[in-house]
Amino acid sequence: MQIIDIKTTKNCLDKSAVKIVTVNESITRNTLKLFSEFGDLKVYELLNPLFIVRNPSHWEIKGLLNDRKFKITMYQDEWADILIKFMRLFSSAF
Amino acid sequence: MIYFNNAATSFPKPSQVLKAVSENLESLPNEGRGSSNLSGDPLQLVRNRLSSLCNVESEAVLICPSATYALNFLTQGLLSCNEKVHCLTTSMEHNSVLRPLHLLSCKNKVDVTYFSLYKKDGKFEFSVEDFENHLKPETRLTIVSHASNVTGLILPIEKISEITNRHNIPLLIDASQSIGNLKIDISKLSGEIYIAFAGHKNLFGPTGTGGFIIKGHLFQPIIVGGTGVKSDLIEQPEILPHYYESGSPNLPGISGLAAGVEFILERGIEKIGLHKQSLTELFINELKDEERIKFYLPSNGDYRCGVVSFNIDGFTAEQVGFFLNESYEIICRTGLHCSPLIHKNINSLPEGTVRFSFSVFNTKEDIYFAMEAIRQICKL
Repeated sequence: MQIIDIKTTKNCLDKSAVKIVTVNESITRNTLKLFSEFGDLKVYELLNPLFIVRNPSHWEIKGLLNDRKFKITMYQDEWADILIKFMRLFSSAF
Repeated sequence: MIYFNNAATSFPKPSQVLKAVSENLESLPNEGRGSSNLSGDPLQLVRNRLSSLCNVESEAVLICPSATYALNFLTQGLLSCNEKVHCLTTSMEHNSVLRPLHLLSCKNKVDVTYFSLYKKDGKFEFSVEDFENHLKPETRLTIVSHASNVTGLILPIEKISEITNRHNIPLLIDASQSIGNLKIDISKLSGEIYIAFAGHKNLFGPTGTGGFIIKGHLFQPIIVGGTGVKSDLIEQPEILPHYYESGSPNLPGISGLAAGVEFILERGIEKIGLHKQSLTELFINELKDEERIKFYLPSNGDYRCGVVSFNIDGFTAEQVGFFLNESYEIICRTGLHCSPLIHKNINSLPEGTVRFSFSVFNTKEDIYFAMEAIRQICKL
């Protein structure tokens, strides 16, 4: 799985930043397991199943299963460094 | 997609609103001041229709960009005094009341009392008698929301106006959540009355529209400028509506607002209120026995504004909103809804509530779908 686009949705007053990440294939239950490397993974079995991955010092990732997009909120004001860290981790995980 | 965020801004708009905005933009500009008056005056049209809706003379209806603008204009205008005065308001108010008052308070111009709601059998109510007990000899203004944007509680403005009139104090009513849902009959309100309203909520206008209604003395405007009349004067002409309507108006928006009010007049305001009452009752009655759901309801069961707040034990309001939005495509609002004080009053701090606010366009099927979604969230 590869990241094909990252869009900024907002830069918040608390200096966190929210980005929408688009990947080249849908996130399945199998690929979702790899997200546990990014933090505490929880899956919510609703009409369209959702997942949330939390790493309290870095980010929160939220998305839908079977979707090619997910949202990442980076907590710190050095979010540009955090984003690079996330992209490196993503490349090695996937 | 199901849209339950009509207390923020209504969606969809009636087709005649879209048509009116588009027609205005396509027409020769007519700001009501030049010689190109070919397509009628949208300002006069909206004044006439709001005058019918609220039973007031059309000259008393002033148009401005938003309820926030109107509330700032009225609060600062009515509290403009040399000595420090007192203002009585409520914990229900929106930041567009709280922040102008705070600004004046910081300048040592006003002392503010925030009157709270009572809790009775787990529900909330407003005591008119106790409100009166909080008036002081130096009270210069009272400000109340007609309907809460958090609990949906509707205040008895006719009774409140009798009290403020008896004490000879002007009453400013924030009708942002009530106009278009409830009949506001200005002739039944006693004494000096000022009503601020939003155009883009239950009146179905575009954003950037709002206004106020004056049944009382004129005060110095806080915004002055071009009026298109008496242009030879350096002073702002003291003629309504020009006294309070400086600058080029948002005519496409106002055309849409006029069409939105026409839609309400055609549909019938009682019918709209009853529709929202039935949807809200259905939602509450079907979910009231779910152990994890906590509702924040008015005690009198009057839900005609179609606003209902709740939380689900074990989740923050933001999490529930995320589940509803992402998994079910139900658009609602979570958090404090720009009314921070009431959350202390109803004990929903720091996260606030999940708020559903229904429209005349919502159906029972929408409610059943949302109920099923909430039941599934409760099972997580």
